[in-house]
Amino acid sequence: MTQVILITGASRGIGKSLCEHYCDRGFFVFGCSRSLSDFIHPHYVHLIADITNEADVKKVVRKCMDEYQRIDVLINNAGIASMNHLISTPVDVVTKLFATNFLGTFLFSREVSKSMIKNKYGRIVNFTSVAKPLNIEGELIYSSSKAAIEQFTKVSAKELGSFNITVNAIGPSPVPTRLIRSVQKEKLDKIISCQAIKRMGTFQDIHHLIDFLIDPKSDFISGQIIYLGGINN
Amino acid sequence: MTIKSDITKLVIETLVENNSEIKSPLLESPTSDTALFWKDGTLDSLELVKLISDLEENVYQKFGKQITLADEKTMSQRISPFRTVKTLVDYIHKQLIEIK
Repeated sequence: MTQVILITGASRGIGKSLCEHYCDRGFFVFGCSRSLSDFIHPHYVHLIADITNEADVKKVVRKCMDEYQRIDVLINNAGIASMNHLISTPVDVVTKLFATNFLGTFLFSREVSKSMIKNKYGRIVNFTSVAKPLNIEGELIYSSSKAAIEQFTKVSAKELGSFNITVNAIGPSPVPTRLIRSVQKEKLDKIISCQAIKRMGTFQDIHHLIDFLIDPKSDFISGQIIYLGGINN
Repeated sequence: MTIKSDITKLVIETLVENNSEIKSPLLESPTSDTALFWKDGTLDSLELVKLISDLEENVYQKFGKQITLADEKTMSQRISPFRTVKTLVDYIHKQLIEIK
């Protein structure tokens, strides 16, 4: 049976590349983001939604359910970054960043897992970052939001495990996207120097790991945080 | 039929459907007084999670409205809306009224 996959943050960067990848693999793909997508494919439906808005999230999930009566895979890719020092971080940046990175992951996980519970099958992949284990200065709020996602991943894996739903998180090393365009080269070089494999990540690195995690055969792999590039916690 | 009796019928049907897996004698013929969660309740937390998922979907199919059965009092022994069939019906009814 063709699998149904829902990807957040789908209009650009890693999210868009995942939509293309899973359409190419024959999945039925729903992507959502705040903005339109220029990706067109017979298997692709793009939905405009604010992932921090509960009603919007419910509408997206309902659309998928009305169409296919199930969602097999959820990829909580949407995220924003902010570089700042503790002392100079405005409150609204913290609120906005946690709303997008953490609240969005929570809302989609809660709503999608209801359909997964009904179907007794599901794969959820969350996004953390190597910024969390590397404790990078200047990424305090961003890496804190990713730490929250890691904890969320571990506990929701336990709460959903008996319904044959796995929950894992991947932590990409720097990948050339808009998210890191404002990061200084010296900072990127410093992060890459901490990796066992010293190069920038690619979309293909991420596709490969997610392919593995969402494989139906990966039903004994849950609650795991996997970083790319050879970074450890 | 009133909305409340429709909701009661829906909750009971969902409970009976779920009981094909739970296999509790208490849920073979549930009534408004049947205890669900806490006290003499027959559902464990995982079975409650399954019931919530199914009820939200069944309420949508029946009434065309998306409710969210998430409440900070869910785990409260004293005031959880999931204590009995009746408290659950009241809770769903309140949510349906609040949705425009």
